[in-house]
Amino acid sequence: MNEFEKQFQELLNFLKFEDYAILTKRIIDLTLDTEDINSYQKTLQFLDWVDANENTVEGKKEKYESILMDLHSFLLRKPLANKGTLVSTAGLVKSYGNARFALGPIDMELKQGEILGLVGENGNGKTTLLRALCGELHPTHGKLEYHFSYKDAYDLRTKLVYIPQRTETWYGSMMENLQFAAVTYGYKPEENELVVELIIARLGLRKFRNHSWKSLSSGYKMRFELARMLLRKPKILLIDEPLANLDIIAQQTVLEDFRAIAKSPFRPLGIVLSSQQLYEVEKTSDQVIFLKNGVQKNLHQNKIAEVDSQEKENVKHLVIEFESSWAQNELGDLFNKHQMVSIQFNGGTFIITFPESVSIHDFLKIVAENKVPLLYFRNISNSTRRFFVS
Amino acid sequence: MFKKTQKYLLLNHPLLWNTRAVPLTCFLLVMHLIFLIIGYISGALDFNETDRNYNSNSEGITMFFSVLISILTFIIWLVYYFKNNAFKAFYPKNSFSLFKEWCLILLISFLLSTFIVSFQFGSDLRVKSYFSETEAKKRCETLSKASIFYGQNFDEAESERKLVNDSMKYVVLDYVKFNGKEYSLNSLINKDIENYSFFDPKWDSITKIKVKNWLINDNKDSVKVVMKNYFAMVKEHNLISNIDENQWFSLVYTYPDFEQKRIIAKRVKDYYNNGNYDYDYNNQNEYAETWTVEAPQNHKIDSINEYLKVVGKDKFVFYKTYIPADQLEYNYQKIASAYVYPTVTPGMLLAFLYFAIGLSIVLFSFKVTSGRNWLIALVSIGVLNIILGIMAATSSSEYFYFWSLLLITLGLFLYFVIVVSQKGKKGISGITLNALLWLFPAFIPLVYAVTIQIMRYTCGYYSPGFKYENHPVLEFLKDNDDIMLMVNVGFIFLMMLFFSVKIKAWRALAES
Repeated sequence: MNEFEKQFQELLNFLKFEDYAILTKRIIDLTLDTEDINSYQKTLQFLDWVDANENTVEGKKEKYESILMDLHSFLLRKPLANKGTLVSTAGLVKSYGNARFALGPIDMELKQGEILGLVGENGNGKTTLLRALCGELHPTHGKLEYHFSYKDAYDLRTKLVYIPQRTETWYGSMMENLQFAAVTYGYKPEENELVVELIIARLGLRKFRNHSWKSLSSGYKMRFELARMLLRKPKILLIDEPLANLDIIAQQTVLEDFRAIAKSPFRPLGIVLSSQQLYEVEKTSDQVIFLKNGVQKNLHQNKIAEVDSQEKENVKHLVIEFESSWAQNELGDLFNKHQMVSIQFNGGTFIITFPESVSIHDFLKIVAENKVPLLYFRNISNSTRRFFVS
Repeated sequence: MFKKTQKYLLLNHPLLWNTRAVPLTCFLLVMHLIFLIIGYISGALDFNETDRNYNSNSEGITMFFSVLISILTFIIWLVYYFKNNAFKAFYPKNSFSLFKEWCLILLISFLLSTFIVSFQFGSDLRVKSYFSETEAKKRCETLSKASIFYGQNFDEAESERKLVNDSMKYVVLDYVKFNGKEYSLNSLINKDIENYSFFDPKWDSITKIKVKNWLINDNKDSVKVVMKNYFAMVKEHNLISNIDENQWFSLVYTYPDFEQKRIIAKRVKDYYNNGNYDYDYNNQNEYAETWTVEAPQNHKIDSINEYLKVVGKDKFVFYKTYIPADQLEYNYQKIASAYVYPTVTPGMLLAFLYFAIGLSIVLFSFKVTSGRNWLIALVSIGVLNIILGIMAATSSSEYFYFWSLLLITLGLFLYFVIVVSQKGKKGISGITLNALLWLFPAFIPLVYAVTIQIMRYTCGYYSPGFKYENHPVLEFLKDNDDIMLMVNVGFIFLMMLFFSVKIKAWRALAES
């Protein structure tokens, strides 16, 4: 079963449980994958039907099934994309003069269809790395290589879309802005409007297309940026703090959108995103780079960057974050009896470290046996959350 | 319609949509047509008008409105033009896209700044529409010949070195010699003729002699033909005269000495002030309508030809015989000038083209770099000019300023080429690029000025006895600055093509 078939099975499950909201989005994704005007038109008609029959139950499932099958049979004939490396860096350093902050050395590799999360506290080099990757900053040392073809440096930069945290204002109508992006990226006049309509629907912007930029909330501004990005068909999307200013549901939606966009079996792209939302980013990303004072610490990689010997030691430990009404000394007394390495109080939660020999089940057992009041807990042994402990 | 066109352009020709070139060009062309029509209407000749009572307000007002409309249109256009900067957003662009964009800005700038040209062109067109060039020339010839027979344009008396009381002195002669015969100073033989732009001084001189030969040969018919043609024009333009062509002929044709007892005045009356120059402000309007040149101080009324008349508070000298020569001269001079010296000349268009090139480059540099870079460059160039000005003032060489600018332009060009070829980071090149774009159009004129200066030194221009004829290259350069300016336009286009390709490469460089 290839990647497409696997994803399609997932869609059939959505259909089975009548999860129409997500299904609609994925249908649009598949339609965009077809790159075929007839499919665009069919899906747009379907979307009009969905809008007009929001509360209709009868025949809905059949409608969804029919369009899904059409798309399936069309896309079966389409070759899948090769997921090669897009960009790699080796010992990349960017310094801003002698006394000031320096980023790196950074060693990384990003493949098509992968999401790389950049986490770290403010001022630790996330934006600098994003800007270096998009060509806006010139590395002081090291190698930065793009592994896809491009005519010249300008052409390369048309293929790297960088969305900064503070996006620039869009002037004029949103539709015109998107159509302008589409036409300059080679969409033909007859497909331009169809593609723009589909992408607007994909990002839930149908109601907002006649709004002015200033009347949009930051969440919708982000979505319009994403809509434009989709039209630009980038090889790599570099996006700075996309989750900032978004409510929790919007964060989940945007991250889910990123996954769907990046993982397209036909038009995959690499995404590098920076964020403070550790758990959400970790859930979505294929790799996570934690930056501290510009220095890289990786997650989800066999080899941990050799930056900190103590960190290397800690890596094998069981680290748990939890919240309890007990005081630190009470907890310390209890867990000391069970091979505890350390306990830290960290902004409302405790971070407790055990040797590798202790498992999460052992921890829960101690808690249960001693009736420790536990409001929340999380195993952060494999999370960059560990790095955020002061 | 407008929306449909814009939508079509958006989907098919994004650059035209982005620059708003099509609706703006249409608007500008309509404005040009309006100015042309206004010019055509205001160019109408009033054959009752003379150089003493013409109304010149329309041109000033038109100029004011043309500038006002240009500025307003320009500002409104800029608001739209600076939206959707595809180049800054790294949207794909082909190598010539920026050059095409500059050409569009240039076209818009040129159309924006030349409303007054259309007005002037319309005005000239109207003046020329009265008669074909051949007809106008024929009429001016008649007017020119006829001018011998009216007015008081007698030539100055000549003087001669003579022995007076044992010493050589210049004595003013009280006669004029023509073909070996002496004539009195107020003879027709001593008259000058009116010049019209169609004719050069040589033609005037030959014509004058020709008419005078008619006179001395008693060739009445030729004179009568001129007068007949003259009065045909008087009638055609409904002008007033208190004599007809026969009376005119009999009054002035006094063969064989042609001494003029009666004067044929060029107008009905003159204002008589008898040396009193107090302007009567209460009576301003009346003066405006009837004002004519003041009669000479202590002017004595020549009772044969004039009489004095008091109208209200004012005194006028009325002429007993007059023809409407003032009106005909004034209007036919205008027609002749419209053909010979049209207001819209290649030189004028070149000046406007240079203005448009300047404006378009300033705008283009803003669009391709950034507002910040543009502003810093503006301040830097201003400061640089002040420093160069001071240094030029203290330096002994008058060409120091040109030399410095030339070297600075070359330096900026070199820096830009190095930055682009090194593929590193932009650094301050955004600022220097602005300065370079503004300075390089002056490159050839600067080279020209400096070359002439060097050649003058080497050719001995400052030594006595220098003659341009001995230095043909220097003479050619000196006489052909207009050719240099035209060649420079071609150079500017080539350089803009070069820059627009290189700016694309420059844009892709890292910021820092």
